[in-house]
Amino acid sequence: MRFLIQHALDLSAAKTPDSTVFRYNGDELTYSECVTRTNQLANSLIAQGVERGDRVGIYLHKSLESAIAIYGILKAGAIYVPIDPRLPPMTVTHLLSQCGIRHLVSEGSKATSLDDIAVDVPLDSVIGITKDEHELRFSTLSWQDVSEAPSSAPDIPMIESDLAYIMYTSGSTGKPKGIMHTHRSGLSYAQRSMEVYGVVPGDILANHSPLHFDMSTFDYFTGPLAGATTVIIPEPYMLLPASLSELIEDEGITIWYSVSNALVDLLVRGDIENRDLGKLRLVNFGGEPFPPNHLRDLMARLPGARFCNVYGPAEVNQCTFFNVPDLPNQFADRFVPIGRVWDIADSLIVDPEDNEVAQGEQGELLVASSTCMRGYWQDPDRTKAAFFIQQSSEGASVQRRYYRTGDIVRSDEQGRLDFLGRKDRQVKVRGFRVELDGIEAVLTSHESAAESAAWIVDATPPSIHAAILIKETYLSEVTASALMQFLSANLPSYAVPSRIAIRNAFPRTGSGKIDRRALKELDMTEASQVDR
Amino acid sequence: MSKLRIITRFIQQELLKESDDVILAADDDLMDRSPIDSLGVVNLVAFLESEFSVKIRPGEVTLKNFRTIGAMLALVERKLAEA
Repeated sequence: MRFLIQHALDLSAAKTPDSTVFRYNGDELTYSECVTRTNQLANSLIAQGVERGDRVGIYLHKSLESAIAIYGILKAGAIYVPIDPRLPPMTVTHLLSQCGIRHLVSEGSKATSLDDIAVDVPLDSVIGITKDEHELRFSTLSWQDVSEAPSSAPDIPMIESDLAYIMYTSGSTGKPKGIMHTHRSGLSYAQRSMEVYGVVPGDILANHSPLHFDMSTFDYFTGPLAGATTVIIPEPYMLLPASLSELIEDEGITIWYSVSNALVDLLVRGDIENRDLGKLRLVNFGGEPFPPNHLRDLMARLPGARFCNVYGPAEVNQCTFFNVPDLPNQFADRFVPIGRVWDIADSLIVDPEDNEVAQGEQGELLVASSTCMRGYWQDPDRTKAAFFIQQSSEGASVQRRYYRTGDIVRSDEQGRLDFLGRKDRQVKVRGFRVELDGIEAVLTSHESAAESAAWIVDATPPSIHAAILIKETYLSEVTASALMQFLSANLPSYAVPSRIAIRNAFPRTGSGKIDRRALKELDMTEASQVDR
Repeated sequence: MSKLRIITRFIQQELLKESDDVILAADDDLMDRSPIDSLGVVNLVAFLESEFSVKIRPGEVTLKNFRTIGAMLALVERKLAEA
């Protein structure tokens, strides 16, 4: 019987216990070893007091333990919450407190910062830290300790509507949203993606996405469900495309899934003309538009692979896909289509008044699907705002719940969608969601600031630029590098603008608001970014 | 200033945005759990090329050549010897 995400692992392990399920940096786990180790982790967590429905954080750099953590937490009946190990400690503190996390799976390098964090947010236990002479404010269990726990599956009654994981978006700014997924929504995605992409036991997947990215569920759920192998890419490889392409060749990766920008990096700097990547049969990309000229070049370099544009906000996992036909000259000056809504989802395209638009008109995409989230963690207002409830014509007794993607699309006669942009000012940089208004809020909180503006520069890859209007008295003291330091301390690295202009005046619109368009124009034409 | 010092300074000040009192060792692993992002690596390559007048091919921007400052220095020295 398969109704929980962990059944994906356990049922494949019963079929092929000796196949490799996860590999990292030369170390690997077979399916049966993975079942043992995840059972042991679950039993250890339960012994530490974790109960069904508790949130357990995964605060780790990518490793084999990442995979063990996911399944061990699920088997304990708990909800896994991946935490970006690069977030500033302050943000981690907020997240732990907001999500009520008292137990974590982490690593030795985080012991000191977790001990500091535990001053503000009490923690009960942390797994993955070896006891040493330091006194810590929580109990610890090393992986050695975990390996001594019982290896039988814990007997926790669970149902498919139980929460399985919470992924936080926009940890950068304002109040982050915790996207709550159930076993049903996660497994439903794994099942359909396995079928759509034809993932089979011989496949070797590459886990490029960090755990706090929704794309990682393909690597961690779909791979094991199919009985395939997932190679967890060590973080250093992500920085060096020429080493990444070596890894793809050496590991014999057959299915790739990442944000588009990682593939552009591979094309431009990956030295792929000197690699044999012939085993790659499927290249899935998403998270942001893929510039068509780059896509065409990449497809020419990898003639044996099928390319697929995958679309879906983290709230619904995935909802459309588009198999890119051979060398798409016809998409030369526009975005690659995001394709049709897949057959387990229903969609509407609506105008700002929630009326369906005529075919061919643009509007916001709304999606109803079994892969959809339950809502945002402890945030009934934003959950309510995220959904459109459609009443049936017979009356109020039958309702359908559609997620408002906030994405503007247009459909052609065949139902194929083009993505036209974001409804609000949320932007994507290297696959990360960044709220421009949030960056402005941080920058304006600097003591020297009167006002600020942030905007996205539509280059490849896109980047964020910002300008600050300095209070008169600070004009001679504030430097761009000091402001950069301030931003780096208060924002995750991907949200830190790549340029900042210090100004004593802003262009204004007629009503006195900052004219962001004019600022952006200035930005483009100026030689110097620092204007006093 | 020695080449080692020039590379170290660039990485500390431009990529890590650290002050001078954080001293990186030549064999520190800069790529594992690194605050340097992929754009930083691109800037680093551009810096090495212009500072030492060498040409680094994309295929040479690998972990082997960029994991540590010592490895980068060895790459630069090799390039200079070839020229």
